[in-house]
Amino acid sequence: MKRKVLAPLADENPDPIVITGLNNSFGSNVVHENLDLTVKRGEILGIVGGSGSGKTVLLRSILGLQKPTSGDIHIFGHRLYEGDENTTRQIQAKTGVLFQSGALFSTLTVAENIMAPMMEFTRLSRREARAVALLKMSMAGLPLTAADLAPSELSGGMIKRTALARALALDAQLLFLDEPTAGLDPIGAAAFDTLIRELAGSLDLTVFMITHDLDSLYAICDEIAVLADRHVVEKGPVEVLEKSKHPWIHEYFHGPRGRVKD
Amino acid sequence: MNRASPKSIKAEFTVTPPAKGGVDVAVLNLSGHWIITRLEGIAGRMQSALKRYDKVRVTTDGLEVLDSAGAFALHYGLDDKLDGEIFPGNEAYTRLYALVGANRPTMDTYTREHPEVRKFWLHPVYYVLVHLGRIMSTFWRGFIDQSVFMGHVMTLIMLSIVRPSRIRFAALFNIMQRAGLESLPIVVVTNMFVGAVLAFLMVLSLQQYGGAVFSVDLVCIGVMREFGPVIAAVLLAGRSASSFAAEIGSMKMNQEIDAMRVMGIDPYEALVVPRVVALVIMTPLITFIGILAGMAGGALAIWGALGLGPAFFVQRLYDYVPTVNLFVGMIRTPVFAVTIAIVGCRLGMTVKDDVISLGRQVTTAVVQSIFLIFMIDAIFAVLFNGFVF
Repeated sequence: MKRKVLAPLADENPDPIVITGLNNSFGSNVVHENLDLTVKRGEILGIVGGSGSGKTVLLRSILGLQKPTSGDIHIFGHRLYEGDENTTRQIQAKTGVLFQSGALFSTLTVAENIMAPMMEFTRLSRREARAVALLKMSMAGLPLTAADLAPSELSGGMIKRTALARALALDAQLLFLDEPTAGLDPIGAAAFDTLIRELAGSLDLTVFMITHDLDSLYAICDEIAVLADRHVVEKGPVEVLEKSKHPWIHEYFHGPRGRVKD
Repeated sequence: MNRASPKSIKAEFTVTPPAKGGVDVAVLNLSGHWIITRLEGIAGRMQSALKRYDKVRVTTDGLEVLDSAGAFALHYGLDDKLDGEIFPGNEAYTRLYALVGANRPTMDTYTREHPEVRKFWLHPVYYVLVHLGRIMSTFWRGFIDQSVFMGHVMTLIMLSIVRPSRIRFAALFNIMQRAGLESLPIVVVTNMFVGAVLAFLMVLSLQQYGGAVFSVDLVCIGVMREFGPVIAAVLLAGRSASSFAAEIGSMKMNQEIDAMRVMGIDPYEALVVPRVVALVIMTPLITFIGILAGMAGGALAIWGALGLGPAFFVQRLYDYVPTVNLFVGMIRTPVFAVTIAIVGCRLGMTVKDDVISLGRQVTTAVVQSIFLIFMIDAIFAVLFNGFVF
């Protein structure tokens, strides 16, 4: 079986994600209204917002899982939903997604899960792909003895790490994380934060992270975008947002669970 | 878009042997795209090309991109032969190479401790024996599980007879409708077709002896004793055993069963007993209607083939077909019902956390219940062999 070789994607725009005027609505329920967001290359952007503020809808729109009502989404300078199949595949190979529950393929073992994108996009032999998969497992901090386990045998932290290894299988440059530390214990969550920070540094990743975890925001995010009132109300480093006057942001950082005490 | 030709963007390397008399260092030059989509087979080729040299210096004349897989292949090819600094002046690549290098010891330990096992699955004798053993042990374990499960359910049914308030009537009637009433059309239609086909066959054979009218007796006896009950049971097995297994299985995957246990609700009482009781109540009723439909189909076929109308059919049915046949057929229906419900619920209860096991258990539920129906049917047929008055 000959797989089509994937040509590297030509980078035309330095910013991996550029969203302009995004509108999303379900019936009369407007989720996004005129939303603009730019993610700069190499930055770790945290997205916060209350429940139902459309974080997941935003992620799904960027990933192309849900067609927005109107608006432009450019990924690596290519407009989403346009362009030929090749470009779409190149973009897919360049992006990795860590879904909230891991979304590991339950029929495959851990190593096969990580090999899945490689078998799909490259012409590596199974042996070579497995070797690279083991490397990714090691990079994601998984014990290699877990290689032949089924996803149902893994703990929550290991599922996240496997999903991360799978997201990074093709050396994705754009990494989407949906609540990466949700459901992990504080120590596991801190270790996962460190892992993402280190990998983002050494692999030169751009990270788009939806999170509620204040510790994650402080630990790894370069910038934070706050989603409220159906668009991005403010975007900036955490120190700037702490001083924000917006009621939701103020409550978020100064509330009973916030880090800043008045 | 700068579409380079495929050749130029392949990962490539050249090895320059060390100059005679000079320093004993070979030079490895990397060029092209050292990324995962371009790397097929390069690690092996590089390893064999570098085998003869002890020290290798790496230059990057024409190297465009490097990713972690490329760094990994390079690390494997070089082993510990690296001379001097790798990627001088390129911090990103150096960091990548160091990252891969840091993970190398873990991987080496793993490969050493877990050598690739040669699989000999394809050896026929071995394969057949292993498979046979697995089937037997699964069958035995299934038998034990089934017995335990049936014991549990029987106890609960006895308890609900003692205290009828324990029965969940809402669930019971819901399942009676879904599993019973809604399966009526398919049972009626199928039985009708089978009765008609049976009648045609009988007429065909009996005409040779000039006794075509006997086909009425044969069709009625056949439908009452065997076809009606078995066809209804098989259809119910296909419809209900699978849906029971799938419902309970997905509830288990969704931790709903655990939630019930924690709340002090016995999932067997809440889920299994209503299903068993509902099927036990509904199956005889459905079977009875199915038998009527089967005979109606036979009557139609005989009307068409012989020109003997329904009045004749009913008269002959009255005169020559003893009621005991209906009894022999109906007596097995509750047993079929219990089999279907218990197999479906038990396999649903044994679903594990993954999707595959759900699918497997649903399939097994249908296969096992249909198999058991035919087995039980055969046992009943032997037991009631002499029951013709």
